[in-house]
Amino acid sequence: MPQKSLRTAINEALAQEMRRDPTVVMIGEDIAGGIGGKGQEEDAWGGVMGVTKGLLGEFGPDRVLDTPISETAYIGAAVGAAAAGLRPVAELMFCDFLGVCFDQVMNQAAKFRYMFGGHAHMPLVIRMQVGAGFSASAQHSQTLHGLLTHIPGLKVVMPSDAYEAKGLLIEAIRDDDPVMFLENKVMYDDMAEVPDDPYTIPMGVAKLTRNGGDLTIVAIGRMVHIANQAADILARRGVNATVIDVRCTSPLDEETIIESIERTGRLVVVDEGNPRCGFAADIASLAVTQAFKALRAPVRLVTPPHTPVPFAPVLEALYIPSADRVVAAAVEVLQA
Amino acid sequence: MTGSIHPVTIPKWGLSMQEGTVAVWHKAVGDVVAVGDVIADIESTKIANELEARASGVLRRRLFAEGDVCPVGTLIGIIAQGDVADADLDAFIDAFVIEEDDARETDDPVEQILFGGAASPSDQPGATVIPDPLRAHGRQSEVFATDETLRLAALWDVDLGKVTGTGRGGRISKSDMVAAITAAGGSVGSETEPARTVPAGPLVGQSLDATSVDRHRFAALHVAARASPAKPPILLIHGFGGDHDGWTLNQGILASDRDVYAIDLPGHGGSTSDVKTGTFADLATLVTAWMDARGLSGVHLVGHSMGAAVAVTVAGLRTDLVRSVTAIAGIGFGGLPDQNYLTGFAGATDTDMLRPAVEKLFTRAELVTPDVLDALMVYKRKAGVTDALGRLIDQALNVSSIAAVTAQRQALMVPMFAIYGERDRILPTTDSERLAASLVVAGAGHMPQTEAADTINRAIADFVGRHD
Repeated sequence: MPQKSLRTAINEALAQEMRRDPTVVMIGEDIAGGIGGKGQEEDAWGGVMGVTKGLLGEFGPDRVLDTPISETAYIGAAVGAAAAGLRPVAELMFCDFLGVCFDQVMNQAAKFRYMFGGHAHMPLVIRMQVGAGFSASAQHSQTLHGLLTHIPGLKVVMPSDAYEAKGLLIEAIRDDDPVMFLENKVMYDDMAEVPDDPYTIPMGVAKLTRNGGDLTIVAIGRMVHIANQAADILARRGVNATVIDVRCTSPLDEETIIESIERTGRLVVVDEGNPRCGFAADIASLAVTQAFKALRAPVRLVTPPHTPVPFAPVLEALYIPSADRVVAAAVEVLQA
Repeated sequence: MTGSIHPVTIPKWGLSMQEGTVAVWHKAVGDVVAVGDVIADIESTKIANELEARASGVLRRRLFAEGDVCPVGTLIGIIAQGDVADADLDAFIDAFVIEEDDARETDDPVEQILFGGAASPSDQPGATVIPDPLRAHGRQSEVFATDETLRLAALWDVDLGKVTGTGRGGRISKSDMVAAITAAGGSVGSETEPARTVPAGPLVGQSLDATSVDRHRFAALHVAARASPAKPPILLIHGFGGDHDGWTLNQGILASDRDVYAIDLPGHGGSTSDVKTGTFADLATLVTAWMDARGLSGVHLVGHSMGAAVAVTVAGLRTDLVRSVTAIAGIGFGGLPDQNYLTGFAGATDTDMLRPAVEKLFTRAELVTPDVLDALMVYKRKAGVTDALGRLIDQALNVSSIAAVTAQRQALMVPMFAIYGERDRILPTTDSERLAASLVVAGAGHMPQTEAADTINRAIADFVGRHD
């Protein structure tokens, strides 16, 4: 199977869905590469990370809409377009910019189906970059899946590699509900085997990337790699961990998590989001409310501290959960 | 005394095995057997496999003939020393009852030691009953189910095509399957796997310290005793190319009632790369200086491989510092190290070159993950390390130096205990070379402290406890 980067896999998913369905359109800042700007070559950039490069050439400016720097306006336009029957894929450059378009997301997109008694659909996808590691400082490095998961009515997806991203993005585009699609910016060049043909991965079905009986490690997005690394270190110490890539925080595959805890009795959650009221705490709550009798040790959470993402590279490296910290947490729950 | 009588029983290989056929006897009555020797071939309805001896001695009795079919756990033979009376053997046979343990699933020998026969309670007879209409008979339908449901369905032979899923999208969960089993008149035993002691790295009461003596900086990990008053301490000494991290599975466990130190030898881990001329005497002199600086005396030394030779040399230099010596796959305790391993390890300049050498350490090559190799390459690239390893190969790990350590060991009056990996490929030993007071770990390679940590920890705790 061909090896593709996360960037290529997402580009391929977008192109294939746009070919399949003429109602799929794209909207966002610089996604067509500064079109309309003075002296700017068309399709020069393909978005800030080059993810959408080439789509303008194939689908034209009517379906690949480059916007001014105004999330307030174009996310609102995407919500309206979805309500009116298109399948827009909006690109919010960084999830940190949710702040200026949150009413559109939280009060409009997330509420339509509910408030119109199921008669309205909101087939909207908002792609956004998350993640620390580029020393991009506190306003461009957050991982806000927790914030989005808190809002009923949104589906929240965070793929862990290129294969996952393509299948989940196609599924998200075909889904009739608003899907927040979170791409970790440090992973765009990471390669994985990705089929050329379109395929879908259902939302709300977790995937085991390691399968062992001694403890359960739950992770999402880039943290799945950290969890896998930790599991491999543990394996050479004779400890077999299950690693669950939950793929989506909404809907959440509770069964897979609970059943694994019932098998292993020990849980570590790894997450790059803020710890307070966050994803890790949510999974811990699931464990103690649904699988308390099976737990043999306190649940351990490996998260950043509850601080903004630091700018200094040294501090940022300490901020992001590491495999060593996951191993240490695993050892604690194993010794308890 | 039945302690020296060892039963040979029909093993349980796999969930469905209820009985086994004694296909071939490989040992005759009166034959000497060692741990790991193949005694017989046993056939179940699914597989044929070799039954290995779990104890050394003489095969004194064969209770069934080739072709006989016996239930799992049945006593089919007796291993005992030649001087055990026939009447005692008869009494043992009369008193023998099939134990639950014998009816458990066993696996790879190393797994068995590591996990104490990791069988889920559902494997125990009577715990889980799958009614026949629900059985898959090995053929699984294409279904949408959780991973755990799929795993258990395969284990329990349940046809998930006959189970209705109530989850999102009709997904079958474990509770759906359990409900279907119960509704059909079956039953499900305890669903969790049995708790096992998981040996893991020390975290509580540990400190990584650095002590400089004689211009040598020593790194050592100290884990404080969890009980007081603490018994005499243990000092762990790693082997060639190792460091204190190699005792991850042992140090915390051994620290239950005594302080346990794991030193990085010169040229290793976080200690100074300078090994002086690289002889055992140089290493031992530096270690004694460190022990003096730390105020350690009357210590139980536990050495792995080259570390065992260092331990013997320390004991020879300063008997006052040493209470006992435990050697794990120890140099000077039989056999000679594989020179190809030593030069291959020292000479490797990338992980691809390193892998074949490091894989030889273990019986199970999968224990050598990319992380292990990466960590070793980081160590090997440190300034002075290549030179240090070369000196140790030249000055310490040669035939005459090892012979000197062996002679030293034989002359010492210190209590000694030796542990061997049965399948050690770095320092292979034969029965006749091994110490009488020894433990041979079936299935383990050169790293029994990692490959069979539970067994090793118990053996060391027992030995040092008898020599406090």
